[in-house]
Amino acid sequence: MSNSKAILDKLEFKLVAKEFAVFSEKRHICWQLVQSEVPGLPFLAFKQRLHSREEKSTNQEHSREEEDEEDDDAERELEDDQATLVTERCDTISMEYHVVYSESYQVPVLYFNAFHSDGKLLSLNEIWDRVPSLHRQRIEHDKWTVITQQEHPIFGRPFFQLHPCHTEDLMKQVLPNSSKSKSNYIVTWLSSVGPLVGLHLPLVFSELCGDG
Amino acid sequence: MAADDREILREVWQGKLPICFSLADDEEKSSSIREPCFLLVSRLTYITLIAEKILKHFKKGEELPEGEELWFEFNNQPLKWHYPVGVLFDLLTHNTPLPWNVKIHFKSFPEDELLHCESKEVVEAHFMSSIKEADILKHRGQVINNMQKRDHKQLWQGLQNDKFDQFWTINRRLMERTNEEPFRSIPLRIYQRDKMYIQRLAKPVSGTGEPLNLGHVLKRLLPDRFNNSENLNNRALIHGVEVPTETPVQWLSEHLSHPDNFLHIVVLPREAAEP
Repeated sequence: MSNSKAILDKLEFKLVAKEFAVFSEKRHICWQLVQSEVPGLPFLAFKQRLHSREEKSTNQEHSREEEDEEDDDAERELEDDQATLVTERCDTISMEYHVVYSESYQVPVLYFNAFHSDGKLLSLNEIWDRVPSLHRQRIEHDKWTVITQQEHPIFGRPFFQLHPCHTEDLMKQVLPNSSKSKSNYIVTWLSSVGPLVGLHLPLVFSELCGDG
Repeated sequence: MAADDREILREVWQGKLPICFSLADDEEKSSSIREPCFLLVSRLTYITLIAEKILKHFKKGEELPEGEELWFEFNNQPLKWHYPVGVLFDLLTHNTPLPWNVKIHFKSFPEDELLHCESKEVVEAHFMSSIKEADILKHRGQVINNMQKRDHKQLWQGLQNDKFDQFWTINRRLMERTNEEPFRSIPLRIYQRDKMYIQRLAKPVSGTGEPLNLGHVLKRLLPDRFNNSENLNNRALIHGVEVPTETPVQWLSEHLSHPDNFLHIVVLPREAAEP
């Protein structure tokens, strides 16, 4: 499907979401298209579990931010310093993602929730700690407006949200210019923004995009 | 804008509710003051903005211990701080005599129902986000995006400080028509009990250029409740007032919007609304 527009109307969203879900099912990847109460507005849903080893050092002088570190699960050395208290927690984070269309912004919006293994919701700070540092630097100044807690537009429960106000500009830059290239808006969009919040689309999704 | 109409803006701004805040029964009373706290609260504000006053009264200004967060409750329902106070009142109370009795909690924050609100910055981000979304709907974002950051700040400060002129100096630009054209789409949310609010695109004029009124919008978005023009079983409240359904939505948007530039419309069954 060829779609080089940076925004989508409701029907276009339904079509790309359906294409995404059908492809996903064929490849046994568990993205589901869910019919919502809102007539004519389905949403995409996905769940995963992430293993995380979180370290918190309470001695500020000894905490290390390694700037070239992309993977928030990467090993960091434990300080062998008696003046530093380090708490280590091995945790399985349950993540739930929804892709819901916004009529106001005319783009899909990523909503997500993250729970510790004890069922407790992650705080905004904990979410932010898990954004890979390379992305963090880019959005540091806008940090409290990029990821926020919102009331889910369908379920009315608290969910975190990646704010949609920059999506149109982002898509102008990453969508292919040529009408000959096919693309799936959701694949292009999600592969750009998903990594901020632990969502990595398997490479096989690139089959929905490409030239010719 | 006509002078009479401008008066309405000021009246809306001045709407207040007398609220009696008292500690919930299961809150540890020995560590807090027991007397309730009476406040006259603006209909237009967000309830967590009075947190400082509440903490000063009940906790003598002490910081809350780790893991505790202030939240409000009425009739066993946690109050969603991100709805304007007036909307919460109109939606949840009926025939309850004033003052509105709201319970205060510090423990057991219901995070499956309420958004966290750790600081004023969270409220500000929420408020500004609504304003931006409203302008996207009205003007494709052209007015808000052409404003300076200090203009955005002024909107927030006007609300916080309860200063009509400070707020409206900037806000009137967001209420202007571009080239005499009505808004592209009307920012509105429709609230009903026990349901998530409804927000859909709502044009102010029909395909043939006829101005659309509140009745048209309600009929389209709530067909079960407003299925004919004589349907008197439900009423629509804005700022606690039942608005005649013949009122054009463009006019409503310009005059009865909340500071966040959205029309917040509460729909209630008529029996519940009458004494």
